[in-house]
Amino acid sequence: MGMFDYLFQALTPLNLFLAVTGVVLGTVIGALPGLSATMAVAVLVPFTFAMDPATGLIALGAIYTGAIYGGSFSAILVNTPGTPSAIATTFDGFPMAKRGDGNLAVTLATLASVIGGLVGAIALMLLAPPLAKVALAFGPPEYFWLAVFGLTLISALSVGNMLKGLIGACFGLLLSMVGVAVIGGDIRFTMGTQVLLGGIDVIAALIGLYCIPVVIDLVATPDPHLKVSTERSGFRLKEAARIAWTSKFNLIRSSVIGTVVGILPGAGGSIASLVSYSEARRSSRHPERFGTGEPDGVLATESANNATVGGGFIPTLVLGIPGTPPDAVILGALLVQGIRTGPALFTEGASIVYTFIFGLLIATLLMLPAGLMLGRYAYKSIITIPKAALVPTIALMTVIGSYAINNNADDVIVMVAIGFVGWVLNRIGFAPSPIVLGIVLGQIAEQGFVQAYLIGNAQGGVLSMFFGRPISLGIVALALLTLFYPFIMSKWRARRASGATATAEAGRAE
Amino acid sequence: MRKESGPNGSRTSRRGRRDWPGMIGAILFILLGLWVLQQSQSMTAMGSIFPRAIGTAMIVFSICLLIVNLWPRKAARDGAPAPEETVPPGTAESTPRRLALAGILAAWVLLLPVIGFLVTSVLAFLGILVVSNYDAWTPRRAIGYIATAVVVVAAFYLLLVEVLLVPMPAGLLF
Repeated sequence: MGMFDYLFQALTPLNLFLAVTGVVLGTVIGALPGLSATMAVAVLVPFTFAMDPATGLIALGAIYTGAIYGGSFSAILVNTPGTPSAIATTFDGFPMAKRGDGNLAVTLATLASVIGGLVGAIALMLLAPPLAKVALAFGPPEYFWLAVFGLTLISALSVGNMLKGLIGACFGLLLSMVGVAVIGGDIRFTMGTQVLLGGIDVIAALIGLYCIPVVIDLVATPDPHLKVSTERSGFRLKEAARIAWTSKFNLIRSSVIGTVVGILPGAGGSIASLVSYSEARRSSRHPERFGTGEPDGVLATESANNATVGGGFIPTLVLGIPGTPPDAVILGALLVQGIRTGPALFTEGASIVYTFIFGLLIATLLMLPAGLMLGRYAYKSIITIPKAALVPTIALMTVIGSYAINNNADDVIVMVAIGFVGWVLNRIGFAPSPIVLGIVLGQIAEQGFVQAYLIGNAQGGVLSMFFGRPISLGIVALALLTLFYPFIMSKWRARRASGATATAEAGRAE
Repeated sequence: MRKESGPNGSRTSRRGRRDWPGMIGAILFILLGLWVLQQSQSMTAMGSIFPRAIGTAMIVFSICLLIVNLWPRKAARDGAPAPEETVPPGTAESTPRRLALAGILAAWVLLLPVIGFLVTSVLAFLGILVVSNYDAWTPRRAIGYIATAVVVVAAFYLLLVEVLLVPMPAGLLF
């Protein structure tokens, strides 16, 4: 099938409908402070199980990109980032809103998000297939080391907490071992109960870890009385387009930064937006205007965080290693659908992959009208949804979602139990993302590790199996580099005080 | 995932303090690792390789975390507690509400297969509504909340059963 066939498959009424619905739902959830893109994807994932894989992926991609974009609304209009990836949008977005340019800032954020999203999605389309060809040469040790690389990266990104990140990753890996072993068939760590015999369901665990702590903490404080700044009417689209055109280099640079950060396993929108923000300020002719309502600041952060969406799908689809936290959830969803991500997906599952990529492009474009309309007419009612209605609805969705994975009430119990554990661990400084990555990568890591071990044993050299292959060594070197990343970061931070501190903060926010 | 804080969030006050909660966590993880190693004794050779490797790694990392925390000077940097939750100054957090919510969630999921989806969910929805409501109670609000609970739960129930064809647990009632 040619590319046009895939494009037409993406344009079916159902796919278009889901792209619009996904973008709108994602934007609404993203705009609500405290609810992140990861959560948006996690609570909505089970609803896609009834769909065919490409359609389900389009819906999830649309929700994801919409949620990342939606975070900018609250960042600009009420100075509260709707998602962690919009933290840097508050720096200039809110000052713009205060001086009456809120609608201009929202339109700029929309344009930047669409452009960033398109750059990321195009990178996905162009970079993923050749990468998949390289990845076909990967054997068991390479997959093991890749999983290790993903885990070290996300641990290292929890700056100042690298050890806690690594411990969390090990904990996640242990959780992934519960049940019947992938190799050997042992029954492990079930503590004698039937409930755990089938293993801990990945999606149930993700919903628990990402949603239950949020729900628990939402009730701890009353509704913040957010005041939406009053402003002149209209979208000011022409004016925004003119500003975006003059800042085209900033837009492209930020989008490329976003794509690259998205490709790195575990790092997502919040890191991308802060890195591109400090780059935009550094290379600006008016760095002193940043933080006082400079349109370039909004353009940089919003294009970068949406570019991570497409970028993050590259390792997710090519290697089965999630590029960003929401990708971890999507990867889990693909596993439930029976799709094994990896290089073979681009040949055997080409129609799924390319239909999805076109769907993501379409969803990104739809963000322009949908976002402008939501920002103009619905924002006030979104932001004033009382917690008393929001919290039980999210709780209901987590229960329904974890039940609907296998139509099994045991999964719901597992979800809530892991959610409680996750909440406690979160309080004492063990962030959820390394644990999640451990759960998601557990089976890949174990299969690679055990197979490489067995092959090495048979060939009489276990060590040379793990450390003697050039691609493996390259990945090991990358993993080691990321382990020392915090030390490099602290040196870097010492040199460039403010911007980099924020980046470090985002590492934990992710 | 952490709730958002400003770029200069709450990182200042931690310098020089030992991370006791993190250390308790490290001890628990060491115990968990030991349990994993003990369990792996009874597994086949193939099934036990990975648990042993990861269990050992977890123990080693946890010991490192303890050492880093107890080390006089480094404690300030590496072992600093990282409150994942940052609350704006001046807002008191309500622990009773948190516990109540956790209790409702636990009861909900345990009773779900016994009593049935519709009944438990409407009741749990109402319970969580009450826990998360900070406004004054009026008859109008109460009626509005009950209506919300019934409508939202029913809408999701119909979506699942009629559109997505998911058989929800019926239990004793509904």
